[in-house]
Amino acid sequence: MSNTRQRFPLSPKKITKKTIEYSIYYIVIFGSLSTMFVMGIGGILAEAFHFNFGIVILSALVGDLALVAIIVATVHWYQSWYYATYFYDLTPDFIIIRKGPITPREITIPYERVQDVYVDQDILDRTLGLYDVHLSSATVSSGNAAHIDGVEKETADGLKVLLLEMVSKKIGKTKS
Amino acid sequence: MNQISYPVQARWIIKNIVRMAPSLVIMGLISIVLFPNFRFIALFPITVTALFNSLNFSNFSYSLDEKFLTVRQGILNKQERHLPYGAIQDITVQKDIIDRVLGLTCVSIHNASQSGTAVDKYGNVTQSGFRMTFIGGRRRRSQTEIVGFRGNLVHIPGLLPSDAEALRQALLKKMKEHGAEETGSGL
Repeated sequence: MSNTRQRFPLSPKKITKKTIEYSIYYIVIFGSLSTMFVMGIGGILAEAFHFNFGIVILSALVGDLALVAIIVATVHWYQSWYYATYFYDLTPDFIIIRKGPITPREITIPYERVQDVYVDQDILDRTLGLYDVHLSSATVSSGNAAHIDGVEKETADGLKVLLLEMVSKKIGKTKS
Repeated sequence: MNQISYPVQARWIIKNIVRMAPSLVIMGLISIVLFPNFRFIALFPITVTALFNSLNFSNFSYSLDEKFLTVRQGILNKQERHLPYGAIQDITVQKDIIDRVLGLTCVSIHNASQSGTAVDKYGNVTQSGFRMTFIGGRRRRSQTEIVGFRGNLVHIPGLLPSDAEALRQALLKKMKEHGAEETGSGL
């Protein structure tokens, strides 16, 4: 855990938020497909073996509940792992952000290249009180690549102030 | 500090073959069906991919000169790009699953050139989520990794992890010596 992360920690609520977000996504994808599949096959079997269609519906429901539980558990496990391996550090010259438990992706930006710092929230962030701090440089896609997401208000403000300070110091040096 | 000291490893070529494997198998099967008497045609897709990637690999070279990063690439069309260190915005070091198996890392450099379209490491055009499919970018979604420069990205895959780290440090040092060009920020 880097110095910066100790001073400006990620909120544990981030795991909750990501779990909710991705669970909904996967439940919608797998849930609808698997329910249709089970109902279809079950219907055919019920016709063939003359048992009550009610049993088919019941087993589909039970199967759905089990699926939801499995999805939520897997997503939560992966997000906790992601949270544990999330690394960001503000060294004197540049900022390093490294994310990803299995295949980490590390981005290094020197302070002079930072054009602006912005903070935003999506709907789930708003309900949980979390913020994302984005660093954008002159490339169009950089705001999405270099960001620290899932911090609380205090931490977000602290990071923003510190980043802006370091950037203006660096720019001041190169100008003079 | 150049291609000689931090070379792209030859086994990077395997990576693109593996990535293309599903489509290569399908193309092979289709060619067996279409030309049952010439079943060796099924090998064509994989040989073409391997050949194309080997040629790209051998024609790619980069060097860290005094004021510029020079990148040369191109099989038939030889291209040479001199990138001033001031235009480099950030350095991304990453490895995906196949890279982990092969023991390689890739280094990507985004630069702030106006003429470049925003590109990801497979050469697909992206512009903060809005995908421009016709103007200046590849029309179909490609899954093979590019080597060299395209759009606003210089992508150097297939490096050894120690080389990648050394290259990153060298680039950061150069970037520090040459300040950012045309700083548009109001800070």
